[in-house]
Order: sequence, then structure tokens, then C-alpha cells
Amino acid sequence: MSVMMKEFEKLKFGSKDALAELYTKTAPHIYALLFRRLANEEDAQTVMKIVYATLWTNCHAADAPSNLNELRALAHREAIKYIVTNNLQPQTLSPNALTPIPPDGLKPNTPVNDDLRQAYLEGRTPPSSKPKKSQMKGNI
Amino acid sequence: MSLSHDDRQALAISYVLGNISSEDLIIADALRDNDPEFAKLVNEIEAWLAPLNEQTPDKMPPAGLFDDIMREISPGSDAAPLLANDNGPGFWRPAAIAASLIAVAALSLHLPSLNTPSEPQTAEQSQLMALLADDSQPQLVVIVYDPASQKVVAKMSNVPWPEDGDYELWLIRDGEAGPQSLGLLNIEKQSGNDGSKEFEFAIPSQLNPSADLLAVSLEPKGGSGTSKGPQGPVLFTGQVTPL
Repeated sequence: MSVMMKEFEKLKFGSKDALAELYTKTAPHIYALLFRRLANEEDAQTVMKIVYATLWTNCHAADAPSNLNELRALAHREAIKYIVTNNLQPQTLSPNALTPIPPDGLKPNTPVNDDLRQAYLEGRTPPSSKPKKSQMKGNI
Repeated sequence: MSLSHDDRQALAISYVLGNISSEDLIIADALRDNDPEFAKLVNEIEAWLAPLNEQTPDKMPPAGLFDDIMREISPGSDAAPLLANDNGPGFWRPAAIAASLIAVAALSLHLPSLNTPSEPQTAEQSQLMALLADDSQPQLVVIVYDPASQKVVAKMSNVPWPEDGDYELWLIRDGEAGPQSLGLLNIEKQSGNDGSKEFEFAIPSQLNPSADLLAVSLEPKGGSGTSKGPQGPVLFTGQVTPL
């Protein structure tokens, strides 16, 4: 993926060609992430437009994405904003997903549990993580 | 709005996972852009989870999507927008194009960075924030106050522009007889030239956290005709709190 660094660098100078090259190389991956998170083609396309328009509009900014991981993070954040502001996926995630950081802090090799993996990628936790009816308030 | 370590961690996780209310999303966005420690925490969580994306198989977007993007972002220009200064006080990232694609624009504040914990702040130096909302989300007004410059930066989200009036910002202080006008949120004070509803201007009073309430009213052009307070309806109110 380091081959893309050149395109990210060129993009900082306002090169439309660089944006086109980056789109060609990254769009299938970014679109897949957005579709997985949004579960809807139309929404994924809308957020794709936001992501690449933001990439272009902010291309000179000091914190503009400069590699694929940062572009992924931008796409993920924009998907979250789209979901929340449009109230698309009201969630109740399991505590396992919401409290993943150990007391001694986050390290690169801190394990990712299944609930967190699915919450991050799809915005939900596995069915087995849902509270049982008998545990839910008012359903005893 | 002082957050404990655990609260900040919980907010950062919810921010990355998307298990977050629209109000908390705005707060998290503001923190990410203004608080280096919070931004670092979010970056660490994102970097930690980023490898999960590698397992997602590619999916081709529809043909023509890139053409749509290009038509949106540069209908008559071959150049990317030039930014005068990405670090100066009150600078707002010109994301009008992106924002125009968002049904309800998420707010992103770009103000001078907060001091790090190693540089203790006095109450007088701390930036303050007020979140003003009515009963029907997601209309929101976020106002950030910088005591150093005695300026406020206001961003209105999903608030329709009055055709025949101006929005006016008011300070309501405990112990004071009545509201004090802090100025108009009108086109003359817009800090960006991109059509977004962002305003930056100096105000005549220092704000105090917790003791002050801010309000926005809809007034005739030029503002309320009386010094006693709003003439028009008060649309948004919010408590001033530490950012």
C-alpha cells in the first residue's frame, strides 16, 4: 500500500489526477467498508461522496489523510456521523464491546474481542451477546 | 462539562464505534479537534481497530460515482481550494462541499488547541462551550468561547436561514436584571465565505462557566429594537460549560 503514499503527497498540492488515482486504488476497499457498516447501497454511495469530497476539500490541511489507514479512519468517522445524524442504527452494544480498554491502557497487541470486532465493522454485537429476556428490565 | 478519565475513554470508544447520541457526537468532534489528549486517544483506538478492515473483501462502487464526486467538488475549477492558514485562531476547515452532502451536517470545531495537562489552565483561561438546542433535534447551535481573544465561534447545524430577520445571541447571567445582547449571528459575521453557518466575533463580556446561559432569538433585521431583551422568539438556549 506504500505505493499510494505518492498519490497522497500529490493530493496535498491539489492534484486532481492524484485524487483520481487514489479513488481508483482505494474506492473498492472504502466502499466495501462503508457498505458493511451502512448495509445499504444508497447510503454507502452518499457517504462515499462525502469521504472523497472531504479528502479533496481538506487536501491542504495538516491533518489530511496521508495513508490508507487514515483514509479508512476518515471513512469510518463519516459513516458514524451519517448514521447518528440520520438516526439509522439505534444501537445497544454489549458491555464487552464498550469496555475494551484494559486498566493498564491500550497497547497495539491488546486483543480485540468478537463483540468489539462486530461492533466496529457492522455497528452491532453478535446475537449471543444480547441480554436474555429474563435479564431485561420489565421482562421477568 | 469536565469529563473524568473514564468518561473520556467511554466517549472515545462510543465515538469510534458509533454508539453515540448526536449531541455527544458533536462534543466528541469538538474535543477531537481541540483537545490533543482526546484526539490521541481516538487515534490510538482507530489505529488499534484499523487492521480489522483488512478482512473486508473489496466491493466495486457503481460506475459514475467518481464523476458525480468531481461534479460536486469542482464544477468550474481545476484547482483545490487554497487554505490561507490552517492553524490560526478561529480557522474553520472549509468543508462546505462535504457538508452540502450531509443531510444533517455534523459539527466540527477548529479552534486553537487547548493547553495540554502539563500547562495548567486557570478558570479564566479555559475555553468555554455552550450547546444550544431546541426540542426537535437535530437543530443545534454550538458556541465556543475563547477568553484569550474574548471571541466566540458559533456554528449552526440544520438551522434554516431567516429570510427576513437576524439571529441574535444573548447572555443571561445569574443575578443580572435582564439579558445582554452579545451580537447578531448574521451574514456580516460569517467567518467563512463558503455559505456555511459559522460565525466568529468578539463579545462585550467575559463568560463565566455555570453562571451564564446563552440564548439565540430570531429578531427583525438588525436585531432586537430594545435593550431589555429579545423581541422575537427565543429558539435556542444552553448553559455555558468548560470545554
